[in-house]
Amino acid sequence: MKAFILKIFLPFLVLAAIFHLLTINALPNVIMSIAMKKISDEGYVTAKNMIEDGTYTTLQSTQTVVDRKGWNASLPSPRATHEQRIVVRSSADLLYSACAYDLSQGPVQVVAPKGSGYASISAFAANTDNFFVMDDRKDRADHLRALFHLPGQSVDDDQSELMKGASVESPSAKGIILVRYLIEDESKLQDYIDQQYEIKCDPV
Amino acid sequence: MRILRYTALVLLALLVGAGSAIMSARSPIDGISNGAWTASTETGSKEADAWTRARIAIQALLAMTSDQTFYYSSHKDSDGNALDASCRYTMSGGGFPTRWWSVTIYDEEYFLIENPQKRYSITAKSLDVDASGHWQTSIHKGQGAGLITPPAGPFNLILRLYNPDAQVLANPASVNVPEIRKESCA
Repeated sequence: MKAFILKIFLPFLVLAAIFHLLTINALPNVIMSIAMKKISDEGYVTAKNMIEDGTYTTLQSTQTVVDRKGWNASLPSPRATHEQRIVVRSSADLLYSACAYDLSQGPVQVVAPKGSGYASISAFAANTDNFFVMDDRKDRADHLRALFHLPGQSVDDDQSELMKGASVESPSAKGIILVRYLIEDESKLQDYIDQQYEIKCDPV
Repeated sequence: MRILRYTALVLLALLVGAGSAIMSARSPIDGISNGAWTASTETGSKEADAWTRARIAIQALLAMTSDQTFYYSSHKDSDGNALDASCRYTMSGGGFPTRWWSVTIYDEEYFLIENPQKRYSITAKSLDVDASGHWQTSIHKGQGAGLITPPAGPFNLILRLYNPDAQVLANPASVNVPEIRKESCA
């Protein structure tokens, strides 16, 4: 019995605990990687199809999305319905615009018009941490602005001055930035959609 | 023979270790309990432990920190029984100390539920609220007013408080969250 415990049961418990911890710690990063890939790939495919089909779009950065393979470009999402099965627990009360960012080549700026109700910019690191949020109560400016960069990455005075917004250090090179607009008034839905298409998520 | 035995041991440990981790990540996000609802102040937070972070990743990816949006989650009615699409429920409540609120219904995979009206949530604007701020709605399958469940199986609800007042963050258990009462079951 003692031999069984020492040679079989104890090693089994230790190994199971190690696999448990490895899985628990890996899950957020794996799920975020899948979400980033879906956002960047779908943004790329959508934009590419729109250009090839000659479909008119007000998305100013359509060609830019294609050029960057969907990274560092704002992708306005249609209002969430049961057909959307990318991100869990989406809210149909919100309009989301997603930007899968990659800071390895330099900082990225996000500029979003405020509109008349709740609006926010939130940023999520590769391990899912929500490391930054700014909402429409921040100040009286008509746009929300944030400049994202890595620790040690130079952000010159011109860039900071140009932004006149928050300078935000990202804990990871890649992640997701979301701009949310709350649909407080259904009759103004088109206004919220127009705002979505004005959002910029561009390398500086 | 010995190699086979050790290989089996490692594979079994992998199965148990990884399987228990995934089960843990799929268990409800707990923390503060308030009536039929639970909440975690660590949602999206850098202070969240590995298990909470894994639960957030699976059940509420890209959720914001509590000071921006406070999330109450419910998998049970006010008597503690699991929410079940074969039953009809009445949900009632009042106003909340926040800028804006909504209650959204999800299937067991945490996605929005197909329904003819494409109605996935209720808000103060979509309900009849009386002079005292009280409201009531139903939760059932099929069609009609209220929130629509999946055709069968479990479902869950999220109460979102956008830009919550300081009292929500200070004492989430003190907020008058909605009551969920079972009316009947098929």
